[in-house]
Formats: sequence, structure tokens, C-alpha cells
Amino acid sequence: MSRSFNALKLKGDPASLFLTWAIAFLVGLATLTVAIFIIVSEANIAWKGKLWSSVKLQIIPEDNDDVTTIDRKAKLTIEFLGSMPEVQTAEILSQSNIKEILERLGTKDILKSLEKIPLPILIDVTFVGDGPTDFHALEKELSSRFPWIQRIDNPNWGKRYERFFVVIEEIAVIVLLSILGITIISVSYATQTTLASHSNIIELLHLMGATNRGIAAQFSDHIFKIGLKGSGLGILIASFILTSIPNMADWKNPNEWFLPFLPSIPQGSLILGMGLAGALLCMATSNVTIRLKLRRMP
Amino acid sequence: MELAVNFENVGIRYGKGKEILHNISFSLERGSFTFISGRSGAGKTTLLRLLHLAQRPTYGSIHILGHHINSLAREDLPAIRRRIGVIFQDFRLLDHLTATENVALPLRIAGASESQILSHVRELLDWVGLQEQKDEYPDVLSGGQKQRIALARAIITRPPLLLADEPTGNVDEENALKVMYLLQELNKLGTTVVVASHREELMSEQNFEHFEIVGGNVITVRRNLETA
Repeated sequence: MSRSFNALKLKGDPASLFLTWAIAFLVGLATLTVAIFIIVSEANIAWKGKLWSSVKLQIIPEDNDDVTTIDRKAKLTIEFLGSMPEVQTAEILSQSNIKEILERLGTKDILKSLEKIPLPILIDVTFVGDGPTDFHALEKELSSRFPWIQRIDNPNWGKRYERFFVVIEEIAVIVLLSILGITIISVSYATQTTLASHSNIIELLHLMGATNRGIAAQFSDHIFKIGLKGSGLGILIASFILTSIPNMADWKNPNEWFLPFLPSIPQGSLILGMGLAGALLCMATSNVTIRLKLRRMP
Repeated sequence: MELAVNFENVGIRYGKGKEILHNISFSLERGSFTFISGRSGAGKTTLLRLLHLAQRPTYGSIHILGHHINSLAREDLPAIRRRIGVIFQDFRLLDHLTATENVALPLRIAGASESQILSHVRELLDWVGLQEQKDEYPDVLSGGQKQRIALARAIITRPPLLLADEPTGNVDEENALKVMYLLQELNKLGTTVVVASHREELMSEQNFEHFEIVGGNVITVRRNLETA
């Protein structure tokens, strides 16, 4: 049986107009949510590696320590660290590196105020792989051998960040599932409204021998086109917002960006699939709704 | 004689309301021409709805074109419906389709080829005398023209059973006679025709069977069959 007959005038239907914009909004929101999920996941992996695989140790000078003493303490510490199997590198950060860190943490003016104060000696330690499994044991051993060092607490921050990222990922999944539910409800509602307004024609088509499949196909083809149009609009809106973030945050080049840059992440291309996924979801929802409704007709 | 329609003790009610048709039994032979008359609200339209499978009976047994309707699955109905043509009192033409597209619709639903559709539509529009109006939309056609388009649409699939609900109800005398003439022509070609009408004067000139529904309870049968 042919499915190509087209007897329903669905174009310009008020419910369809509503649906286009509803889908645009929902797909836009879903796209942003997926983008945030991808960015946060990537940031989590990247930051986890950076925070857990390195640590900075500061040599705390005592009141009567002169430069030679401080250098000797630093040298002893580095020698010991170098002998540890889990340590990959251990080296003193140069004055310019320290200034760079301070500048990042504070403002440009901070350097002027620090000019007359001696800068602390920082040892940058990188570990093999993702870092030692037991930081507390390592910390305890270092403190007992070298009471003059103080750890800048990367791992603790790392744990907090990791938990924070996981919470954001979980929220993103909940939001995505909610959007999925709202989309299904909206499409189903709009389809039922359109169906009700065309019930006379549908009865006529039934009496002429049209199958439920044939009638449902007309609706789902129509809703698929609306889905594509709405999804396209939604992705455009979401893309505009996503590309505006670096400008809004005044990040002038990728190295300055606080978070990973979406186009540089392979999963970023998933975003483009959101439109098609949205349209297919609309089509499937519409088809199922119509068939369930038509089944109740004589 | 082969039967086109057979009703045995059929009754119907909507929901918990009173019975519209009560325990009716009748049969129609293939190739017959039948009038169904009755007062407004007597149940003529309900009977036609049972005949074109828009409704299932509450009780009783119905056979149409050799199929036992009560035992049919929903998926089997479209194939039988395609063998039953229906003309509605209010025409039920689709306003956004031209006369040609309206007439072609049943063939499109049946999956006919485009060339087949075009030749059949042309032939039928000629037959009902509306070739010049083939590209017009229903809103510019007269009542009589609409009724003839509806007739052409109802018979384009060459159905063996044709049902007409008050086919002359919304047209003037001249067009009423034209429509009745066309229905007779179809009947001569072997189509079983059932006409529900309250216009007794249209019946007097035909060879027909006449069923009268009185209050949905009784069907009286009168015959006016002459040798052709």
C-alpha cells in the first residue's frame, strides 16, 4: 500500500508553529547541557591530571636562616625527592615562574609591592602517572624528614574540584533527562491537538481505506520536518551562546581559556548530532502518539 | 443469489444510551438498488455507518461482501473499506484539494500508479460532466457540482458496494435527478447501491427495494422491482 498520499493540511497548523519554537528552545537547552557536560568532563580529566600529578613544596625559612642555609635545605629536599620511585621530576621554580604564579593569583600590581620582599623558594614536584596513591603517607614522611617544607595543597583542592565536577555532570544528566521528558510531552500534546483538529478528515480517510500506518506517516513526516527546523534553530542559538562565552569572559586566545575549548574536544562534534537526534525523537513520539490514538478510533 | 450485505439480529447503542437500531435483520443482493427511508433520527445514518464499517454493532452478525465483519481484525478493515464507496450528505470534500485531487484520493490511498490515477480521474470527471472544473477548489463549486465530485470520488476505485447518505439533500431538483440518474447507471453496471433518503418522490421512478426504519426498531420492506 502506498504511503505517499497527502490529504492532511498540516502546514501552518497553530500547534505546529508552537512546536517549532518549543523544540528550538528544548534542543538549544539540551545542546547547552551536553556542551557543559562535555566541557566539565574534559576539565575534570585535565585538571585531575594536573592537580594530582604534581605538587609544589615551599621552603619555609626560619628567622636566622641565611641564603646559603635555605639553598642547602632546598638541595637536600630535592635530592631526597629525586630518590623516590614515584617522583618523576623535582626542581626549584625560577623567580620568573614564581612571579608568573603570583601574578595569576593576584593582580599585576602585586609584583610592585613584592619587589622589596624576598620571594619564597618553591619546589615543583611531578609524579609518575596520576600521582602517588597515598598522599598522606608521603606528606608525613616529608614532614618528619624536612620540617622546613610546607605543601601547597593541590590534592585536597583536586578532590574538591573532582566532587564539584561530578555534581555538575549529574545535574547535567538530570537536566537532559528532564528536557527529553518535556520534549516527548510537548510533541505528544501538539500531535494530539493537531489530530483533534483534523479528526473529520482522518475519519474520512479511514472510510476510504487508509491505514493507521499511512495516516501516522503523514503526521510523523510533518513533525520530522518541524523537528529538523526547530532543532536547527536550537543549535544555532546554543552555538551562538557557546561561541560568545570566550568573548564575554575576555579570553583572547585558547591558552587563556579557563575551561577546555569545545571545538578542540573530539566529543564536541556530538553537538551537531543533537539536531538530528531531536528531529528523530519528535518523529518517533508523534508516530507512537498517532498510532495509539488511531487505535481507539472505529 | 449472492448477497452483498446480510444483517442478522443487529442492534446498536452508543455507550449506555438507548438502542438506536434494535434487532434488525435484512439482506441485499449483489447488484441491487435499495432505498432506506425513515424520519429524521430514525437511525438511517447509523445503519449506513454500520454498512461502511464506521461503527461496529453492539450485538448481532453482519456480513458485507463476503466478510463476517464482527470477527474481522482492525487491520483487515481498510482493505474492505476500499471496496465500499460512500457519498455523504455534506459531501465531505477536502477544501485544500482541487476537484481532481479530491477524486483521486481513494486511488492514492490504494497505492495506484500516477498514470492510472490520471486516466481514471479524467474518465470520471467526464462522466459526471465536470471536466472543466477539474482544477477548481470545492469552495467555488455549486452544491450540485460538489455532489457529483463526491460521487466520482466514491466510485473511482470501482467499489462493488456504493452507499449514499441523502445524496440529493443539499442539491436542487435538477441536480438531484442528475445524481439519481448517475447512481442508476452505476447500478446497471453491477454496483450494489444503497441510498438513504427521505425523498419518497425520487423512489417512485426507480426499480428498487425499500427498507423503512421506524424508530430504529422495525424495518419494513416494500419491493418495487420491474423486469428491466
